[in-house]
Amino acid sequence: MTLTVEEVIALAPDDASAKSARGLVAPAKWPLLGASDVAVWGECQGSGSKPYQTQVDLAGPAFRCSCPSRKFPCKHGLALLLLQAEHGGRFVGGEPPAWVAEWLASRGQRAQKKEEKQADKAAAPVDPQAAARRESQRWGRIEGAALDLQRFLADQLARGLGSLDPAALKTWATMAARMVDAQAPGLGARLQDVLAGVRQGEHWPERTLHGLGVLQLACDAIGRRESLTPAQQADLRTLAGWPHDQAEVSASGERVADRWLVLGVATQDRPNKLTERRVWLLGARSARVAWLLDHAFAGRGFEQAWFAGSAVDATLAFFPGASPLRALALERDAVVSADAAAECLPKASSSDTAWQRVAERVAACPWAVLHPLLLHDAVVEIADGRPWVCQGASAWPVRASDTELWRLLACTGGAPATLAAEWDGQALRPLTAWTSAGAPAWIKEAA
Amino acid sequence: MMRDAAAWSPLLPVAMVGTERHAAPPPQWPGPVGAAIAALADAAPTAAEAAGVARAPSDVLRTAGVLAVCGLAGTRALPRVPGASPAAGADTLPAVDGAALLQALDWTLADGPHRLKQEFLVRLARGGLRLPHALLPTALELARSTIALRALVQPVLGERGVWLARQRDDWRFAAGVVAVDELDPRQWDHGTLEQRAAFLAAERAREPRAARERLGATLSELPAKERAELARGLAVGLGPDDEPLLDQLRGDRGQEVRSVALALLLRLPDAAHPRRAAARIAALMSRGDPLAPADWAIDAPSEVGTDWKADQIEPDLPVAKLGQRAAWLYRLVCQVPLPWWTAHTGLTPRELLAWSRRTDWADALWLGWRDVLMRAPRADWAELLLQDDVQGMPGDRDFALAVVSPAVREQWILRELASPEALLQRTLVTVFSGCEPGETIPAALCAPIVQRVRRALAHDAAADPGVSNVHLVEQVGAGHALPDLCCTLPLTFLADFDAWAESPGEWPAIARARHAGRQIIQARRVLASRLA
Repeated sequence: MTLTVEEVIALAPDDASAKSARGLVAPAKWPLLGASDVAVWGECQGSGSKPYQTQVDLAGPAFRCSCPSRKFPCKHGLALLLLQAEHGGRFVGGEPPAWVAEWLASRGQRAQKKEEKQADKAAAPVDPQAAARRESQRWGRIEGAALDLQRFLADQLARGLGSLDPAALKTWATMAARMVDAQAPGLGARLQDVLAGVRQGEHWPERTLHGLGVLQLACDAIGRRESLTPAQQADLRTLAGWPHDQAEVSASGERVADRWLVLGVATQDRPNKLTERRVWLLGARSARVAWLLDHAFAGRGFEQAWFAGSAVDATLAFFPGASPLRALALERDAVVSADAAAECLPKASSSDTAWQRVAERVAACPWAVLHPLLLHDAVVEIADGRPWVCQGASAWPVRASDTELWRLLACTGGAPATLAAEWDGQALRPLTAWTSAGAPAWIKEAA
Repeated sequence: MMRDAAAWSPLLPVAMVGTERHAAPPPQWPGPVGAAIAALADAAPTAAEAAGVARAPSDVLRTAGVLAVCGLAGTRALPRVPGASPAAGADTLPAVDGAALLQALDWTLADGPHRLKQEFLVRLARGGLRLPHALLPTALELARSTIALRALVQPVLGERGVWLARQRDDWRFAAGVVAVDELDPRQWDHGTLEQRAAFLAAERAREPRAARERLGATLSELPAKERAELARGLAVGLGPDDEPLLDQLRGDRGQEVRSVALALLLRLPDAAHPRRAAARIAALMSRGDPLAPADWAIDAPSEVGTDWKADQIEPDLPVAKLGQRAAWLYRLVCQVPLPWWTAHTGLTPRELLAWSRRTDWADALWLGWRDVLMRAPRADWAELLLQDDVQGMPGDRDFALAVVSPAVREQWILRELASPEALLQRTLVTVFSGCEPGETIPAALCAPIVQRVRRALAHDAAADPGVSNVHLVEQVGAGHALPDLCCTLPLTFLADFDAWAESPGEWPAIARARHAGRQIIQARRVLASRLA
C-alpha cells in the first residue's frame, strides 16, 4: 500500500511536523531507502554523525525512528512516506536490514500476544457472580450520583436561574467534580458543559434550560433503569461515562462486514492534552452509518489511518445501544481504489430521509450529541454575513473555522455539492464535500 | 444562536424567577409536544421524589427536557436568507496541475520567501494558468497582507477567485471593484485620499487633460496635505499643458504644495519659471577662453533680485554651512533643470562637478545640483553620487543605484564584489533590489557573487582567530542572504548548492538558511520543469 501525499500529511500530528517533513523530502538526504510489501525503511542524515533509522510498518501504518523527537509520527517517518509517494523508484526492494526485521518481528509477536491475551481473557472462567456484584455496585453509585444531581438541579430551579451568581456557579463546579468521584464522570462533563454557557451570549437561559432538561431526563432514566431494555441501559452507561470494554465489544458486539466509505474525519482538541478523532463511515451495502471514536495523547498519532473519501473493506463491531452508531474497526482487509470508493457515495437521497434518520436516532437515544448527515445538492453560501448550508429554500447554520469555511467556499464555488457533515443540534460542521464523481473537492483538515 | 428560541419563552419566567417565588400555573404548549408536557403532571412520583426531591422544579426541568429532545428530533431548516452570491461562473483558464508542482506551490504560498512567491505567481500568469481552487483563500489572504503581491495574484485568481473575493470585505481589492480598464468615479467622489490619488493617476495615464481639470476644479475645497498629495499625481503624463496649473500651485498657501509644484516644473525645462531661473544663473556666469571647454566662471549674486519672491526664491532663509551669497546661489541653482547646465556649458555632469570644485562656490553648486537631482532624477547626474570622491548623504547611494542605467549599476556591483572592504551583505541587498519580480540576477554578476559567497561560507573562523571578526561579518552576511540568493540566481548557478562548503563551526542560523535554500531550489526546479 502506498499512501498519497495528502494521506501522509493527514497523519502528521501537527502542521509543524508536516512542514518539517516536507523539508526532508530529498533523496540526497537519505543514504539508504528500502521497501518491501509490508514495510518501508530508510536512514536519514540528521545533525549528528549517525543517521537516524526510520521505519514504517505499512499495516498500521505504525512508525519507529531512532531520532529523539517526542512527536509521533516524527518528521522522518512522515518524510519517508512522502518520499515513497513521490520517489517510489528510489526505494530498493529485497530483504530488510536487521534493525527493520527485528522490529517487524517484535511487532508481530506483540500483536500475537495481545490476541492471545484477549483470547485468554475471553476464555478465562469469569466468576459471573462476582462480575454481577461489581456491576451492581457501580450502578448503585451512579444511581446515588444521579439522585444527588437531581436534588441539586431542583434546588437551582427552585431559586431560579436569575439568581445564579459566581458563588452559586462555584457549587455547580463542585457538583460536577462529585459526579466524577461517584464514578459518573459523563454526568459531570455534561453539567460542566452547561455551566460553561451560563450567562454567556444571547439566549443563555434557553441554552441552560436545554442542557439541564436533558440532564433531568438522564437522571429520571437512571432512576428507573431496571425497567429499561438492555440497549437503553447500555446508552445510560455511556451517558454516565462508564465505558464499554472494547474487548467485550470486539467479542460480542454486532458485527457488520461491508465496504465502508469514509464520510469524514473530525479531530478536536479536548482537555488534558487529548485529541479526539471521530471517523464517520457509511456502509455501501448495508447503508449503516458508523462512528469510530479515538483519542490520542499529546500529539501522538492514531493507530489506524482513515482518509475522507476513501473506502475500506472492513468488519465493524458496534457498541451496544438503542441506536448504535459507535463501532470498532476489527479487520481492515483492503483500502479499495479511488474509483471503487467513489462508487460507494450514494447518488441521491432526499434530505427528508436524512433528517428522518436523525429524528429516529434522537427518539431512540435522546442523549446522542452528534449526528452524521449526507446532504445532496447542498450549497454552501454566505448570506447576511453568516455561512449557511442550503438545499432549495432551506438553510442550516454552519460551524467551521474561518480557514475551513473559506476553503470550502473556494472549492465548491456556490455550486451544489454532496456534503458530509456533523449535526450537533444547532449547526452543521462540514467534513467532506464532493462536487463531481471521484475524489472529494474539499476535506476538513485535521485540527 | 438558538434555533427554536420561541418555543422556550413560556418556560422562561418560572425558570428565571424560580418555582419558590413563581406562583402562576405551569405554561402550556400546543400539539403533541404540549400533550407530552401535560402528561408530565400526571406521571407517578419518581424515586427521587420519594427521596425528598421537590416535584415542581423537577417538572420545570422535565418540561425543558421534552422541549429539548423534541426540538432535536424535529429539527427544521431555517428559511434560506436571500442575498447570497449566485454560483461562480466556470473558469476559463486551466488550473495548475501535477502533484509535485501543486505541492511546491502550496509550500511557496504558505511558507516560501517573498521572492519565490513572486516568481511562482509571475510564471503562472505568463503560462496562462490559474491557482487551484483550494489555494485561493491562501493567495487572497497573502495579497491582503502584502499589498506588493496584489497585482501578481490578480491574474491567477480565475473566475472562482474573483467570486470568492467578492464575498469578503477585506478581499474586495481583488473582486474587480476597480476594474483594470474601467474607472469608477465613486473612488473619486467617496474614496479615501489614497483611492482618490490612485484614481487621479489612472485618469492621468489615459486622459491627462480631464484629470488636470478635475484636480483644478477641486483644489479650493481641499486641505493643504490633500492638495499636495493629489498634485503629485500630475507627474503621470506631465506635459507643457500642465504649466498654467503648476504655476498656480507654486504660489499655493501650503509649503508642501509649492514644493511639489516646483519639483514638477523642473521637469518642464521649456516652462517660463525654469527658463527665468536659468536666465538668472546665466547672468552670473561668464566664459573665459571660448576654445577652452571648461573655462567658465561663476559668481554668486551680490544682492537679492526684485523678482525672486514672486518665483518662490526665499533669500532670508539661511542654509547650513553656506554664507549669505552662497546660500542665494544655492537657491537659484535649486530651480534650474539639470539638462540646462550640460546644454549651456557643453560639459558632462562629471566635468561640471570637477569644474565646480575649481570655483569659489563648490558647495553651493553641489548642494543645489543634488537637490534638483533628488526632485527630478536623471541617470547621468545620479552617477556622480556613486563616485568615491563625492561626500554623499545617507541614502544617496541607494537612490543613485535605483536611477542609473543597468550597465552602470552592474559595473558598480562588480567593483564592490571585487573589493574586500565593501560589505558583502550591502552589495547583495543592492543586487536583490534590482531584481524585478520573477527575474533572475544578471548573468555577468552571478559567477562573482557565487564565488564570494562560497568563500565567505567556507571560511574557518576558529582556525583564523586574528581577523575572524571581519570574516565573521562576511560569513553571517553570506548566510543571511542564502534564501534570497536561492530565489534570484539562475538555477544553473545553484546546481551544486549542496556542495557549497560549510565552515567547521557553522552557526545554526546559517545552517537553517542553507536548509531554506535547498527547499527554495527544489521548488524552483519543479516550477522550471513544469512551466518551462
